[in-house]
Amino acid sequence: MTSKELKYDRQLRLWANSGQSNLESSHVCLINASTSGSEALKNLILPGIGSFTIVDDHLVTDDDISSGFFLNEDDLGKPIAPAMTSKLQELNRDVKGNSVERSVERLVQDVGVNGQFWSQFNVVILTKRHYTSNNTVGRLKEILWDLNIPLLLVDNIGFYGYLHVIAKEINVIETHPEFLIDLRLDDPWPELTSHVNSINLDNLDDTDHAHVPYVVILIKALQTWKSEHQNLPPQTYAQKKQFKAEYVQALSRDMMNEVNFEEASSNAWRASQTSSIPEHIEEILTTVSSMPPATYLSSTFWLFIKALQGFLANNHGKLPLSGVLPDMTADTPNYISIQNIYRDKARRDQQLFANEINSILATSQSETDLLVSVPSLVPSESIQSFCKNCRFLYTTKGSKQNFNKDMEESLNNSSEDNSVLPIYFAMLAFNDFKEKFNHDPTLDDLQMIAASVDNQIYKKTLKEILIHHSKQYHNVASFMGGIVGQETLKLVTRQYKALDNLFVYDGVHSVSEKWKI
Amino acid sequence: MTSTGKGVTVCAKVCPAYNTHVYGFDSSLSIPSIFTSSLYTYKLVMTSVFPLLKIGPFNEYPDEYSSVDAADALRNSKVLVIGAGGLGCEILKNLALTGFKSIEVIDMDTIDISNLNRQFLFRESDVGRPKAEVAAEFIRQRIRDPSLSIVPFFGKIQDKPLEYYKQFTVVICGLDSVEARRWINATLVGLVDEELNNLIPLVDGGTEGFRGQARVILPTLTSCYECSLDMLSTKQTYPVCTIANTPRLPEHCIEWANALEWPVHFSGLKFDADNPEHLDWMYEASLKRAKLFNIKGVTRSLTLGVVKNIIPAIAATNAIVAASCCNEVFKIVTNSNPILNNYMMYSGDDSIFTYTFSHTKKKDCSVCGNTAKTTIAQKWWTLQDFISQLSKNQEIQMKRPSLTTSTQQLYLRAPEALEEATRGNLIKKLSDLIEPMEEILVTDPSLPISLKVRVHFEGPEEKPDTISALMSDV
Ligand SMILES: [Zn+2]
Repeated sequence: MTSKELKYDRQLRLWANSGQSNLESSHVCLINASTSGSEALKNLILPGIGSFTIVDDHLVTDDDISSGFFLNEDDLGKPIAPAMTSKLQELNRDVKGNSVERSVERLVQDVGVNGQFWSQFNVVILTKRHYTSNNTVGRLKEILWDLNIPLLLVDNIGFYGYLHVIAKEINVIETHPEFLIDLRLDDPWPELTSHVNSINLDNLDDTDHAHVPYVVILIKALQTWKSEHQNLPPQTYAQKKQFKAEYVQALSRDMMNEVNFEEASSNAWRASQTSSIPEHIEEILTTVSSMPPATYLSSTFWLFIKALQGFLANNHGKLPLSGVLPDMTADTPNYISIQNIYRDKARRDQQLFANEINSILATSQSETDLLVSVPSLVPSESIQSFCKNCRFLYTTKGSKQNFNKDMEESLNNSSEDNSVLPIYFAMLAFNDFKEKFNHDPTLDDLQMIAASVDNQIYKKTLKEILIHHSKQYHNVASFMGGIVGQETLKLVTRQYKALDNLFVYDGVHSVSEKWKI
Repeated sequence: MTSTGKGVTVCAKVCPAYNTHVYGFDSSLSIPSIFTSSLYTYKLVMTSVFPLLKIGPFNEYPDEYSSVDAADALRNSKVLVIGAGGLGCEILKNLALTGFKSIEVIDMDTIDISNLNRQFLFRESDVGRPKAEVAAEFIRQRIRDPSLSIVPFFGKIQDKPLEYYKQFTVVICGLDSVEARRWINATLVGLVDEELNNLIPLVDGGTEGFRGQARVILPTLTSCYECSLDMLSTKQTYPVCTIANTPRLPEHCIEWANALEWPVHFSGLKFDADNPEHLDWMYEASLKRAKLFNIKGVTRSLTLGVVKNIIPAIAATNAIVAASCCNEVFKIVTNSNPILNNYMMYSGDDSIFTYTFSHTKKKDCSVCGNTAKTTIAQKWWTLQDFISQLSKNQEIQMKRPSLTTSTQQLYLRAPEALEEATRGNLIKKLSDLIEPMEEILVTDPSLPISLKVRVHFEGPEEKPDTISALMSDV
């Protein structure tokens, strides 16, 4: 193992080399050098993000060193962006740190000139260390939305914090479901069928009989069942029960001693599973149907979905096989041979899938009116990964809104002390006050701010914020920095399902909730 | 001692207790003198912590609460941090930046290169040095606060006398060892007397990949670590016959090399996963086995993962769990807001999800309960059979149990003479040794726990002849 593999060993077990290389080629931007921001960056620099940039044009104040670990007395009075960058940089020599001593207001003003500045990032994090006007945040949202770069809005006051992910679209291939098992018991392909048929249970001695993989047992049982039931699998509860007892267990010579038959029996339900396309995959396929080539060609994810459409059309509507076989009681040669049958089929599916991609690319390259750059080569690792995970793809569309109607209604109905939604609205109200009056609200302003919503819990929550108004309480800043770190890691490794799209933390009651805006 | 700041001059020892009305925190400009011992500390607490000590609408003791008491408690509390690893680094930083002044940290480990992806107080040049010492040094050098004391101890928690633990206000654990947690949990429960003196809250954090948990244990009052032993995920194990005869997975080949081949080749030499030569041998042996059986997928990294039982870890999850734990410590010490009752689970691998619930105390908990656990034994079991079942039981998990009843010693591991004297019992039938429902006291040298068990006998007198009957009865 290389020294890099040793250093990153504990995380490579979560996202493998593919995730790590995505991480190492990513660039994250932090606007406002706050404590939560520096904590988030720490969590990205340690695992080796490619580079980070801090945008802030302020000088280090007492307040900054009061709760941040990546600044100290030596930095007092100096520009904060380079000071914080240098302390963070020490965490990992593999990471490149940059600082930009300009205000975000200026950086969003001239989009023509600054468009290039923003397009270098994979994720932009905006914290509320310094007040950023609604107007500036609005412009930033538009710029990043158009560039399809997720914007992570983070805020924390006192014991409360929230993260709002604003992304036009998030697509994930490697979602890491618990199991990728796809046995195709209902539809074995010729190689699998002939392997199953080559095994005659009656001819085996007792030892071999007790080592037949349960996949073989179930396919045999299902063959018999189907031949007696108009070629249909067991469907009703009674049928499933009958199948298990009379078609699976009945094949065993001794249910007490044959562990493989016990496994077949407890996996008998799989025989009723159909290998049809999951509903959410159908929806994704519908989306791509109405997409113009310029759109699906500009994203690997949608290019793959387009290819999947072709694959399904040419393969009787069956998705590519994952090729993953769970462990099961069997002797080694029996298990390995059936494992090879699954792997070979998966490999052939990957090849057919690659052909679909190539034909899409060939067609599009011949059309000269396309303004997008068409990828000429798709790496085979990506194809393998897509085929393996194609039953568990994830896609979601975001919103630029701060909240929706449902949330407003829930706010009015909040009745418990530990209701979390009022926290978010109270924090938005705190922000709106600042926008309007150019200073933070105090307890004296409670009645005025609370007046807009007729709810006692909301009022109580506002009071909590106005009293415990520390914006740099380290524990909550660090908690939110951890959340932002995790979400950014998911976004840039392009693995695991990211937050969609609002998370609110209540450190008073140690609870959290999330909403989709 | 007199301290000054912003126009107030008071005796630091007197003011917190007697001058509450003068320094009522709700008039937000007054600064309690206890924070003015150095300019830096004053700034620190003033800006980020001070506002949090005011009385808020969710405060549970509005009649008794005083901001000054809270500030005083924060300054005078003594916090013990157990573990200076992924969670420990975060915990130390969090405590130092939230007004705690007196911290001790214990860790028995030295720094390894694989720690650097999350343990941010360590650099490559620190590899091999004691974690506790380097961590304390780094914090002191970064936060130059003369009133902040962090005392490191490079060693095991078991090395300290019971008396040592009594000095702390709260203990916070960031460990990956179940045994160490059980030890500190039992120790803290044992310290509490009938008048609830020496009740030291234990805040415990743990992570695994994108998941983790934070919990608050009020010894003898709430569910303790031992009460929830059955919630621990069990280590993946493989049947010996699979490993020896019918390997199918690369893991089976590695376990074969580890459990069966190593002891044969290196009798008496303990395998050390951190020794590259040992690991090389293990990898080569596993690979050879895999090739023999046409099994693909044995890699050096997988070998390491299996033999070390590696749990994935990232900085972000540690940050979340450590911050949750430290927020609870802050609330416990200051009383400023309600504390977690008593368990928060966190999961970040599928969106973000937290679940906060009150884990229930178990009446038959071997640490905090007072009734004996009832366990079932087959009438034909020997004492040896019974002991091996006890060790496997999810709620007991003792590796080297010794057993006694009120009238006799059934089996004792030490001293040697007693082991010899009781060894003969191992092959005797348990049902011949004890009465049904007789109380057995079970102890283990690694844990300060004595577990009471009552045995309910069932099944046949004689051992059934087929293996499956045995399996189904157990
Ligand atoms: Zn207990």
